Amino acid sequence: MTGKHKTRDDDQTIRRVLDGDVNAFELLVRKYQNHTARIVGNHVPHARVSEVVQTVFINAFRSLKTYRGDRPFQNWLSRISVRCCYDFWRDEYRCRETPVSSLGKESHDLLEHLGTGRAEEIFEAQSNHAEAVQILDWALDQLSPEDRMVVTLTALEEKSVAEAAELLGWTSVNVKVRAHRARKRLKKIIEQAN
Amino acid sequence: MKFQTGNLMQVLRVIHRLRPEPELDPWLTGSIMAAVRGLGIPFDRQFLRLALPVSAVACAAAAVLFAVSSTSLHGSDSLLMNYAMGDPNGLLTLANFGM
Repeated sequence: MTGKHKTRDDDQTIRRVLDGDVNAFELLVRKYQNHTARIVGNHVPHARVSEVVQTVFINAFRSLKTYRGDRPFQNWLSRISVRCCYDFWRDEYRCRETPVSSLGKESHDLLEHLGTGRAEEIFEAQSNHAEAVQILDWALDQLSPEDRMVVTLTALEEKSVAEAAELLGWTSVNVKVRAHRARKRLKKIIEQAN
Repeated sequence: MKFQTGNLMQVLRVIHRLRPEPELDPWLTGSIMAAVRGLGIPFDRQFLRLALPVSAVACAAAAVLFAVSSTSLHGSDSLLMNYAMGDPNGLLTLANFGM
């Protein structure tokens, strides 16, 4: 099915929902829940993905009236997903502390290789994947919710400044400045952990 | 230990890509729909959906009654009564009143 057909189908489904056929919303949930879960899974712990995905769809339903149809529904939903992840971290970060000692010995060994560029070889061993992701999550946990979101989108997912600005609802200048500072902070955190 | 920012970010990107696909709760669709049904459709639209057909039917009925009563010698109330009694021509009424 082409992109245009998909958009037209979505527009028809949205029209039905707005006309009172609430059950038609299930078509959108089934169609986009994996897409939404992938976005959310890149930002929040996997144990909490389902909970955040549910919030995304509830928020989407609540603001469906504001969807103008000038861009694909999937893009509109992606923006809601990223903002829900940002809200998730703002709630989570209140009164939280993750010490360096929470990392295992293997994680500390891996940390030493992060800046050498040889880490890709190290991660080839399947057993190290979980440890590596744990290090990244630990380092991201040290950042503020804003820095965490912007560094994930720009540095880790390689989205452009314009794309990140659109997803976060920030100005491009704000994204550029914050992304630069957040990258420096992330580097410092990993250096200090060694 | 000092790292090159470029190298470090490249490695962190590789790690980020290693994240496994999240496993969704199998009942997720059901729980989303239950929550959505709880929210219902916006009140203004629900009101319009009910109010528009009802008022359209009422207007049409009023127009028919008006048209019928204005072309008849009797009022619309006695016409309705005649129909209710199974005597659309009003013969019983005429007979009862000796007309």
